[in-house]
Order: sequence, then structure tokens, then C-alpha cells
Amino acid sequence: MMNRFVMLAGAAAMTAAAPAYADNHAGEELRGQTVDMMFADGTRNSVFFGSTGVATISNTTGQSANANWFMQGDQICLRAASATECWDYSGRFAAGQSVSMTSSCNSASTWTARNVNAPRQRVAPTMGERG
Amino acid sequence: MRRVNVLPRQWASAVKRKNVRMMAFKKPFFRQAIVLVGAGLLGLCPSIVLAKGDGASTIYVEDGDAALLYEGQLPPGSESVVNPFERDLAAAHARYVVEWSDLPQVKVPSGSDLSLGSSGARVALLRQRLGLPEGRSFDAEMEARVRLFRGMHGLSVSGLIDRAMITALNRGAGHYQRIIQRNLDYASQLPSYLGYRYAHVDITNQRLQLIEDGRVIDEMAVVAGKPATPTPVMAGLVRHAVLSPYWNVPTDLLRKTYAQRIINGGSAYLRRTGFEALSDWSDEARVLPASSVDWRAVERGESDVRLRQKPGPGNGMGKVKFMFPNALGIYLHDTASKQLFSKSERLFSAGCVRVERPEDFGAWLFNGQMPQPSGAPEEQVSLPYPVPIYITYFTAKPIANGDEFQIIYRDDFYDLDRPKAPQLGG
Repeated sequence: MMNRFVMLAGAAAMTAAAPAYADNHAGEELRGQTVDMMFADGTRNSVFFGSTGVATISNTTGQSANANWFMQGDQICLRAASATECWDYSGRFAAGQSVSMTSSCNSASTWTARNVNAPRQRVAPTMGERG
Repeated sequence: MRRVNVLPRQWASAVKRKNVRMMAFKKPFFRQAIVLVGAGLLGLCPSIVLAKGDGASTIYVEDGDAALLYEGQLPPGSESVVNPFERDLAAAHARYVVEWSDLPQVKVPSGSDLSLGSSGARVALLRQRLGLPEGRSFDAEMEARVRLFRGMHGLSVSGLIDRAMITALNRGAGHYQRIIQRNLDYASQLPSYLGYRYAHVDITNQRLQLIEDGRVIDEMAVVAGKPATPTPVMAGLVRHAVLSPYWNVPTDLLRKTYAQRIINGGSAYLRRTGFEALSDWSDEARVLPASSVDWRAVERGESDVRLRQKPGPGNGMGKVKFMFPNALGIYLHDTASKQLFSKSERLFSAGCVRVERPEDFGAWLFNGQMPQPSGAPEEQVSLPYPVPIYITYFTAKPIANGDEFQIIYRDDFYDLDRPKAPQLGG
């Protein structure tokens, strides 16, 4: 379950093995942003999706833990120590709009992004590489 | 409002063509920073994070990366941190001011070396210059002061007053304080939190360091830009590698160097080097017969063509390039010219950074193993997570070693330490 992540040690998670990265743009709107999650049992977490892959998960009592976050195929995943939980990612999140998600652990939750990044503009290769 | 010329000429001409995009960005803890949309003011793109200073104190950050690097790595409200470069240089600057800035900056005449036990008029003058009580004897107190002076002025630590120390004394405290201040200005423009894992290229010693949890876990030599084509000070996020890459030659290099080579060498040169001409910079560009290109017009800037080098043993990018997309065309990459890494000073490139051990760097970026090429040209492989990269130019490096405190000064290859008059816009 997602809310168990707050109980896990964070530092070890940062060195976890890297997953494959399928899509260059999926999930990019959440990079560096915070998502509020509400679980079916009323538990609330917030997850900060750090821009360099480290996620910080906090609960309402002030506890927090670190994990890695990454996109895997069409899923968004969090990994802390040896535990990994993934959710189907069906499309870009919009700020303030709630999305119902069910995880690979069959845990239902509602995700609401506080803010999102604008679509990333491609840097056109008009310069080449200076070499 | 004062406008500051922030881009070297060879980049400015390239980025002028692009549309202006504005960036409102501020490093949270740098209260004194004047954050201008510097490039926007000049009609340039992409935007530049420009802090206070004379225009030389500028770090280039692509606007798509700025917020992610400066504000996106830690949750909002995280405890304030200061990056280690800024922390160490601020401490060095404060110590320097306390120890040396308020002393009488009297000129000391040259003469024979002095050490413990020496005496006379020059010793008396040196005691005054070093802030010691009046006297004519080189005593133990003076020796300790000499050791500290030498350590903080880039000299070997000893109790000897030699010609090098007299030169340093006569340069004056202002000279060294300016250097430390400029370095501090640069350091303070970097993100407060540099990242759990990040890569650091220091241009002044041409080294690449791989940092995890504040510790250097590997480092290697790099080749950086020649003084005529300097590697810019910049920060970015490495997002992908390109295996079996093309080398796309920037237009200014084509005009300045390669067009003439093609004119001289003809089709034999193109065959030997693997260069080919393309119709444009799009993904649908067509390969053009070299004979259909007016290379003299290209050289004069009257005709545009895209020149790229096919993957292979002599390719300028080597077997892999590591991309942190930016409009300056600056990347890290492999090279076929491995012999340059054995040189003590490695400033040979046109601005890019050539990496001594790209396989090891790639393995680290990919958390274990460098992806193997499929054989297809320009094969793009995304990193699992973007990795911050900082390209710095530090000419002063403080080192605390037990009771000894030293500042190492490196050569100012790009002439950035010398004060420059600001260029005012109309």
C-alpha cells in the first residue's frame, strides 16, 4: 500500500536499481511538483515528485520518507527499498483535477496534482554540437 | 535599466534567430540576486539566469531546466541548504578579509630569501605588511604568519619568504579578494541543493567528478573549450545519451573552418571524414550531393547547409554523446582523440566537453550499465532519471587540511577574473 511508504527509510531508496524509461514525456508534468493522494480508508499522503527522480512522501502527522519515482511503460511507479508500487498512467495530470487510480497492489486512491509543468518544448537541433 | 551583454559573440549570433521566451525564475536563498530575463532584454533566447555582477558572473541555464534544478529537487519548504562551493568560498572570503584585507599594502622590495632567524630592515617592513608587531627579527610568530599567507595565496606552505611570496604580497589583498569574490558570485548562482547525484565539470582543472550523497565516487579527465571557444559556465539536466551519434557541425564552425576544408579537399575529404551535406535541420532533411552545394557561398554565409559527420571511428562525438538539451550546442561526449587526455592542460575543444572514460560515465548515469548500441545511427536512450550537471569555472578552491587552511588558485584561462567594464545597452 502506498501509505506504507512513509514508514520506509529513504536514503537506501535513492540508490535503488534503475528501471527502464519508456516515454520521454509521460509524467513530465509532475516532475518537481506535489500530488495530494487520498486513499479509500481516508489516509492522506502528499508526494513530491522531485525533478531528479527522488520522491518525498509525507503524511498528515509530519512523517516523511524518500523513494524513487519513475515511469515504467504506461505506469508511474514509486520504489522504496525493495517495495515497488505502480499506477496506470492514462494521460497528463491537470492542476487541481482529481484522478482515481488503482495501484499494482490493488489500492484505490485519488490523486490531485497541486500544480503541473507546462509541456516541455523540444530544443530544436538548430545549433548542432560544438564538438 | 542596465543591460548586460551575457553571451560570448559566437553563441549570441546563433541564439538571436530564435523566438524570445521569458522566464521568471529566482533562486530562493539568493536575496541579492538581480534576476533578469537577460536574454529577453537583448532579444535573445533562451532566457538567462543572470545574477548581480559585471556580466562575467553569469551562469547559463536552459529555461526548461531552471525551475527543476533550483526549486524542483527538494519539496517546498525544505530546510535551507547552501551548496558546498558557496559554503566553502564564503568561509574563505570571510577568512581572507579578516586576515589580510585591512593590513598596510606597502610595497616590499625584492631581495634575498628570508626565513626564521633573519633580521634587518626588510624583515621590519615585512612584519608591518603581515600585520605583526613592530620588530626586526624573523621569529616563530612571523614564521607562522608566513605559512598562513603562503597557504592562502596559492603558494607552497612553508616558512620561507621567497620571490614568489614577495610577488604575491605586492599584488595586494584586493587582487586575491576579487578572485575569491568572483568565484563566490559564481558559486552562489548554483542551486542551493545540487542534487543527491550530480556530475560536476570544472573547466579550470579539466576534470569531471561524479558526486553521490556529497561524496566524489569517481572522477576523470575531460577536454574543455579553447580560450577562443570557451566552454560556458552552465547548469542543466542530462536526460539522454545518443549512441553511434552523428556530429552535427554548428553553422559558425562550418563557415569558419569546415567549408574551407571541403573546398580544398573536395569529395575525397568528404569520403575520408564521413561528412555529408543535408538540406536542413529538420528530421526529414535530405542528403544532398556535395557537388550541388556552393561551398564558397556557405563559407561567406550567403548559403546555408547542414553538415553532419556519420557515425564511425573518426566521428567527432566518438561512440556516444550525453545530452542536456540546450541551445548553445554544448554537450559531453566521447572522442577519437584519446591522446589529449594525457596532457596536463586540456583546452582543445570548440566548447563541448570530451570525456576520458565515457563508458564509466554512461554506466553511472544509467545506474549500473551503459546501454549497448544496436548499430542504428543516432540511437537515443533516455536516462532513468535526469541527472544534474554543473559546468563551473572556479579559479579559487579553498582546502581545509587540519590546522592548515589553503586556497588553491588555478590559471584563469578564459580571463574571467580580470575586472571588466559593463557594456551598457541603449
